[in-house]
Amino acid sequence: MTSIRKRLVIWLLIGLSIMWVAAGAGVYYSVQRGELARLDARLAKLDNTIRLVTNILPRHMLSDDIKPPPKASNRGESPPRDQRSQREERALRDDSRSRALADRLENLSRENGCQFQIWKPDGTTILKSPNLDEKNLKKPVNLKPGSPSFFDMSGKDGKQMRAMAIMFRPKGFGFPRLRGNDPAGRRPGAPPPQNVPVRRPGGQPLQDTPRFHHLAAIVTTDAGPMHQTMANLLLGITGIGILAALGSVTLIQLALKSGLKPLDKLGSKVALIDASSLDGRFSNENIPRELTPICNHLNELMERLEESFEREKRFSSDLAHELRTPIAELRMMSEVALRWPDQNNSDQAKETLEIAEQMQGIIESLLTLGRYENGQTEIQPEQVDISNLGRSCWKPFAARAAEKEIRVNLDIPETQTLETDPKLLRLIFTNLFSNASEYTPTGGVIDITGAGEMNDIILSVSNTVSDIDPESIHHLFERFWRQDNARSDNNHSGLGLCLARTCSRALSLDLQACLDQENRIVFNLKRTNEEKSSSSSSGNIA
Amino acid sequence: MRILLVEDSSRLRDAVAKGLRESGYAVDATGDGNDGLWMAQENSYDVLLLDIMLPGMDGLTILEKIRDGGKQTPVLFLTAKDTIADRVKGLRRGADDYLIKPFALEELLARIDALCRRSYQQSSPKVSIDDLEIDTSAKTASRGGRRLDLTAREYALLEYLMMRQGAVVSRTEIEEHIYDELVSPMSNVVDSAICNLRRKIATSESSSPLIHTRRGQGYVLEVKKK
Repeated sequence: MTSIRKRLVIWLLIGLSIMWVAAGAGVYYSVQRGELARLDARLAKLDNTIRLVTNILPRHMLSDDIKPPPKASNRGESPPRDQRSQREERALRDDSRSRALADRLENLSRENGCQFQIWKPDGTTILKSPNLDEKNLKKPVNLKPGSPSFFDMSGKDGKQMRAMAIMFRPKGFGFPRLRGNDPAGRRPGAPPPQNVPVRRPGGQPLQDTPRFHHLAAIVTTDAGPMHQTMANLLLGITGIGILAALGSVTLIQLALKSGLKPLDKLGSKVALIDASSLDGRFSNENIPRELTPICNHLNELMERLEESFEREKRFSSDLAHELRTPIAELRMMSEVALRWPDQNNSDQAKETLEIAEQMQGIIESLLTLGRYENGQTEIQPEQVDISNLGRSCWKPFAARAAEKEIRVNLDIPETQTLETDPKLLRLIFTNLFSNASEYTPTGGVIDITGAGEMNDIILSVSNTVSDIDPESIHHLFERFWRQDNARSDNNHSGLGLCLARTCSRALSLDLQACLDQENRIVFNLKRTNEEKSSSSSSGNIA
Repeated sequence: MRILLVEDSSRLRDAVAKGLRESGYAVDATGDGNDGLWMAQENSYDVLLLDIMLPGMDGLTILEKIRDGGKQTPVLFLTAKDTIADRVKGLRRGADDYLIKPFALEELLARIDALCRRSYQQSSPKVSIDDLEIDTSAKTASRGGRRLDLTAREYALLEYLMMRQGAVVSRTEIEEHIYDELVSPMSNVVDSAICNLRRKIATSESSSPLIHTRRGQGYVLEVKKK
């Protein structure tokens, strides 16, 4: 069985979970991005430092066009004095540079905990951080000058590192510049034109324009603290998420309990409804707006049920009352016959038979009513001659009418036909004629007329009545209703007109009663729009 | 005892009337409310049996008119209206009892008997004088322990006299309470019945006479002191 509460809990939990996960993921990735940006900024800063370090590298390490200075031990003869002093100065300068470089690299590695390595294009390492010892970093590939790339990598001891790879020229040794006046008229420092050769024809480099290498460098820094921070953050987010989920479940339950309370109350009230409390109604006061339509519909349903129950109660009561008298007659006659038997048994048997027929008539009428009201009987339409049917149905009542000196005007056109179920139409006619012959006073008039030219009437039965209350017209078609409350007439049970109307409805016809200007009661059997539309093509009434 | 039965169902009316007559009651019966009212007002009945839904005039109106006329005759409603509201309405209008159709004849007789006893201030079904005793429930009479063989009419006469023992009962009263409207008031049916009853209750030569004639007045049932 579907439960609104369960469904709401599931949907709210799923929704809230998605929101919590999205929020957690958002926080996590934001923080991670911030941390990475911080690390990358630090790497970029280190990169600048390392680039500066390259400035103090010997120039011959940066360009193949510059030869390394000759070592003194390799020379066969001593150079001239001024050359020797230049070499000494250069050697001193190189020693000083080497020491400075070593100090800078040591400081860089120690202070920043970073590792770096710089390669020449041929893959020769020209510089690496001292803390790498014998190990080497993996040389990056597919680098573009000036475009650093950042990535994660594992350090020498398996530590997680953040790395930046870049290709650069050592600072101050960019594009080769022509000494003297530029024949192309370029400004000093402007990039060379594409067609300007950097070497002389024949492979000789231009005078005083050594070609410096693009160096590939990789700088790494320890990403462990960042990963630790992220792990802590993930743990925190997960913990908070679990607490939030538990809190959400509790809150949802409480909210639903509170929100659905009026519905529970309404359900409890509905559960208390039984046949004896159908006169009660649901109050709209203090009811949530969403439940107001339900309350209104329930009240309408209660009203219909109450009416239906009242009708059924009245019907049961009427039926019981109708059957009480014949049963009382049977019982009393039987008791008397048993206690004081006499010779005249045939009269008693005749009366017993009459009572049985009376009760049988009531039961059959009720069963017929039930069948037609519930649509359990199939309608079998055929072309019916209304005139013939009318005359045939009137015959059994003609004697009774003659006995009461009733004047009967039977005027049904010979050509009048109708496509309908003759069995049901016979029932309608018979009950109307029976009613007319029974309740027309002695010397009265009964008019039975067929279809009119200007209206939809199929049959009209009117008769004089002695004393009918106009209000009674509204009750004529009710079950067991009779003008005479005494029900002293054993031949009628008060079901005939009700049965006639039910049959007319089954045939999509309309049976109405009214009083005319002469205070005669008139029953009109009319066609309805539904019946007309179903038979319009056949032109039923001739 | 004389009973008026107003019931519109002819078959039920005839059967009840027959049962009551066979049980010793004098019964007048009609199916019309107006006729019933007229008969109740004109005659002296011991019990009225009224249906509620009647042609002409309903049973409740008949009861109201009877009570308005000062008559306190016990009324029993015989009706198919079975709701509590209907019963309460009937009893509040002055009915003494209410019986719903269908009913057993035995129950009807018992209720009529109870109403008759009540109207003569008798609480026990057994009424006696000297050694003569009647049982109004069993409709039997005995003297000195010996059962009397009485017809229904004779028993009804004895019961009426027993109910009014010590009082002078006129012929008219006997006619009104023992005989129905079919009996001619000019006949000497009362004298004949008294004569027969005297003979039947004199079970032996030593039995003291209990029914005495008061010239010009009627009859009295009493034990005469010697």
